[in-house]
Amino acid sequence: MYIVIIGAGRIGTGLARSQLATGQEVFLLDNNSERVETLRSSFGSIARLGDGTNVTNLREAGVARAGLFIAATDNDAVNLASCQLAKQVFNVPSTVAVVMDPENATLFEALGVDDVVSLTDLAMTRLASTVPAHPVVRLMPLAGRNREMVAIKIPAGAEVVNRMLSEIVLPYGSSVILVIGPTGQTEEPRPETVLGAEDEVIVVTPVEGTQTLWETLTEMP
Amino acid sequence: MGSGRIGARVASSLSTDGHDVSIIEPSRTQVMNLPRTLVDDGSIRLVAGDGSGSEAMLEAGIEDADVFLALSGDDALNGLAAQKAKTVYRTRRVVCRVKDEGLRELYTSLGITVTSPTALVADVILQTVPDIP
Repeated sequence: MYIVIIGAGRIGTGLARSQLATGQEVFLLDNNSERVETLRSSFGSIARLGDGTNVTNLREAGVARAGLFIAATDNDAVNLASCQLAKQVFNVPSTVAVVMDPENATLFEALGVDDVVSLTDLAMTRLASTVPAHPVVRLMPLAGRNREMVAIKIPAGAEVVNRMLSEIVLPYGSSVILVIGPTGQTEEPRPETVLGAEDEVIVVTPVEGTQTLWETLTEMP
Repeated sequence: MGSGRIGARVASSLSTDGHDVSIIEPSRTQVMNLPRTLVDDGSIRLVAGDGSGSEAMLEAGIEDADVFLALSGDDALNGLAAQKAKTVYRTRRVVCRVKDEGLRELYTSLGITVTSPTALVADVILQTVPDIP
């Protein structure tokens, strides 16, 4: 497949490298001549200087025959504009935008970008699982971002400790799909499953129920 | 959004005409383009912040706005802010300043009123050139 990537920073370059290794045809566009030169010296003519929001530059990069278009600059607005041009002007079947501002994830999808990767959300997910507090770890958005899969660790002394799942009232539409014990053993949840301190609960929930869910599972008596 | 020379001038005129004007300025250094008197007496509300960020847009009162003008010098930022005003906050009239011809066509096709200073200036200049027989 022919893949065009806008932005030859760490993400764009890393992506290009991995795609080239799997035999894909890759082309990068970046407005920084140093980056373009570095890429050309190690990979040959797979990059050129240009602006991802300029139709002429996109045409020269062969976007018209691209099967996949990825906008991975550090500027959300540029990533949106270039994906929209790829879609509207060149009919690229699949466009992906990287965003820094998590708010832009839903907006960009509503505006026609096929897939949006939020760097902040990804970082928060990883960080949340390493800090000692008990935040909601958002594992992934589901069903067009109306639902999400989250992990919540039950703090010692929480009200739900030693209670059966059937006794706990979760927000409407939420369902526990897995309970992971403190030593890593997994348990398929049943109504009579008893929650213990430091158990990690994986739940699919409507996005608007996540906060209530977290409160329910971490509240102290 | 944007208080460069164009934004500042538009804001001053609208404010002088009696409209309630808020201006979001993404770069702190541009603010000096606005007439101090209008900012100081509260005629123009100045909000410093990310030009397309919800926080700044809400603080500027986007939810009650009749018109949103994206007039910064950055085409892509204007396009993002304009589309956000239109789709998220349902602002009735949205105008976006764009230099690049391809982006101008794109945003027009997306239903945004686009104004291109470059094209306007070219038109004005052409009008001053006498017709060639």
